[in-house]
Amino acid sequence: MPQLDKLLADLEEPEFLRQLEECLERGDDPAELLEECRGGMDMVGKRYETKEYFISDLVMAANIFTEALNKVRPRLGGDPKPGGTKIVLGTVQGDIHDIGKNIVAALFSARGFEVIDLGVNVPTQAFVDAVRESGARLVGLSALITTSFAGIRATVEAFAAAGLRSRVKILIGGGPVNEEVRRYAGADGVAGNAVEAVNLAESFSKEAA
Amino acid sequence: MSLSTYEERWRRIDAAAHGGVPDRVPVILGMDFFAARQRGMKTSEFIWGGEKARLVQQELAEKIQPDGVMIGSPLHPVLFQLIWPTKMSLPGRELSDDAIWQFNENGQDPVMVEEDYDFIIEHGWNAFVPKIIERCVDYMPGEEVFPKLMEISEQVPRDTEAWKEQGIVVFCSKADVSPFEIFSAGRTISQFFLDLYRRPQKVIDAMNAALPDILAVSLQVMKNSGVNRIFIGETRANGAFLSLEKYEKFCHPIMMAMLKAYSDAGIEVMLHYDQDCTPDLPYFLEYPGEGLVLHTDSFTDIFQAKKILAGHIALKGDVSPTMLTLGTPEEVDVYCKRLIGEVGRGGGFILSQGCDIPIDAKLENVEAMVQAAHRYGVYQDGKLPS
Repeated sequence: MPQLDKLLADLEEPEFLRQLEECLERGDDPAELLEECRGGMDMVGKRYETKEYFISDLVMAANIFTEALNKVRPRLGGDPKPGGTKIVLGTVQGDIHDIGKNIVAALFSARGFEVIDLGVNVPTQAFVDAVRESGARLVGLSALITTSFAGIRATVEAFAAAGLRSRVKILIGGGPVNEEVRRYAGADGVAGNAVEAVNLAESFSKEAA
Repeated sequence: MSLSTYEERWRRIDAAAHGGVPDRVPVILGMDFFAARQRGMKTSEFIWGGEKARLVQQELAEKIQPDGVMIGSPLHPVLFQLIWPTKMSLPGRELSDDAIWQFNENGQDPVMVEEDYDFIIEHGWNAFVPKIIERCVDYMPGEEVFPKLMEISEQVPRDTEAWKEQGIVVFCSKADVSPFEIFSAGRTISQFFLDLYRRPQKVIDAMNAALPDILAVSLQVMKNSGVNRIFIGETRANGAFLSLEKYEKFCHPIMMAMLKAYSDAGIEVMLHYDQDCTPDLPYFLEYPGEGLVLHTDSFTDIFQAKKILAGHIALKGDVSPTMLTLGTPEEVDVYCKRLIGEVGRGGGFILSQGCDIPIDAKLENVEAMVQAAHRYGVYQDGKLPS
């Protein structure tokens, strides 16, 4: 049995993809293969937390995982992990930066979340509508510039105005976003990096369960 | 403002930038968009530069009275796109009339493609610049770009003189970035990081091929600028994004080469590092050049930087943009007092915002910064009051 998790965690892209193809061709269970890939991403997250890996490594790992997902997904015959915790993600209105948000989205997918990615420059109402439609209990707001702090707060307030504030936990993150911004915006949590964001979301999910 | 005030401020800044003890901790501000907002100029007008854009900064400086400004000449999109090759969303066009511009790095549609590395390796950077103009500049005809750059370049010494007449020192006259940063923008950060894994030697070869052209242009512009310090801004070449192994392989050699070239030409450098470069600081001890200043943006541990770099590189920073926007004058005062007391001890420190002052910073917070230098930063017999 190849160690796909280790190959992914070691960022050995060509060998990982070669072995994944082999496994798929010989008919290995795609769901099990995906779980192994997720295990690899967990190792990546731990290496990031211990400062063995850095953002460039997260980008590489997320890219390999996405490639794996694209190969495995058609063999699953549907959603890779039905019932995964839903999270609505987006960069707030007035801000077009998507790199940090994309890294976070990939890590959430790897951890088994169902990501509803609204993109960048997302109007406040679109976050509310996405939560209504999906039933998600988690929202992640990204921002890279200080002028987006108002957009974060407006989004939090939009959930209150819609009567949904107590239904959702709102996480925020991105360059200048810190605890001071969380207090200003009235969000539930602030993550200093992508791995922290996923860990925080998991802890919120457990609280809600 | 008299010339003697200018000379007093220049000596203060020069002493600190060379690691010495001035009469007082100097304050240098970077306040471009912030000045426009404070003086009521729409950013959709401000971004196109010219004398009016400089004058709003001078009006604000007259009120705040810093010792110096980070760069004395106004912004223009084309100045950025040649060192940060991305498409831009502009105020008054994609964005509202009073927004800041934003760089549109789209990983699905990078300005530079993989084959561009080969082109740059074969032909150098200058040959590639027309392609950048063609792919990025969408607000003026391509043939007008170089005349516009000449016009801006010729305006720089006049801007410097205008600030001098006001009694305020221009710290840097031109902004530059390393080829590592240029490629990270052109390829987009996500594609570029994949390149570091998939084609590392090609990235290194292209950086080395691009550098001579980049340096030649910068040295020419600097020669006529009237200010002997260049701003080198690094945003991704740091310990938040890269392991030390990658920093050593991709970033350190090219920065050494840049700094040596400027040092050989007698040009001093302010290194501006976004994000957290704390892990990389020991490498900075090797950087050559008189009057080298490191400006950090509040993510780097400036107190740790003082311990590591004291006696080698002066420090400038680092009141966080978030604090200037959401904090209070009292919080700014407390932080500046700590900065001055710890980083200013023994000299070699310039008080400044981290990165730039945000457009929506509170004026009273910026004023609190300047006042803190007067309140806590006066040296007596080479020492700060305890």
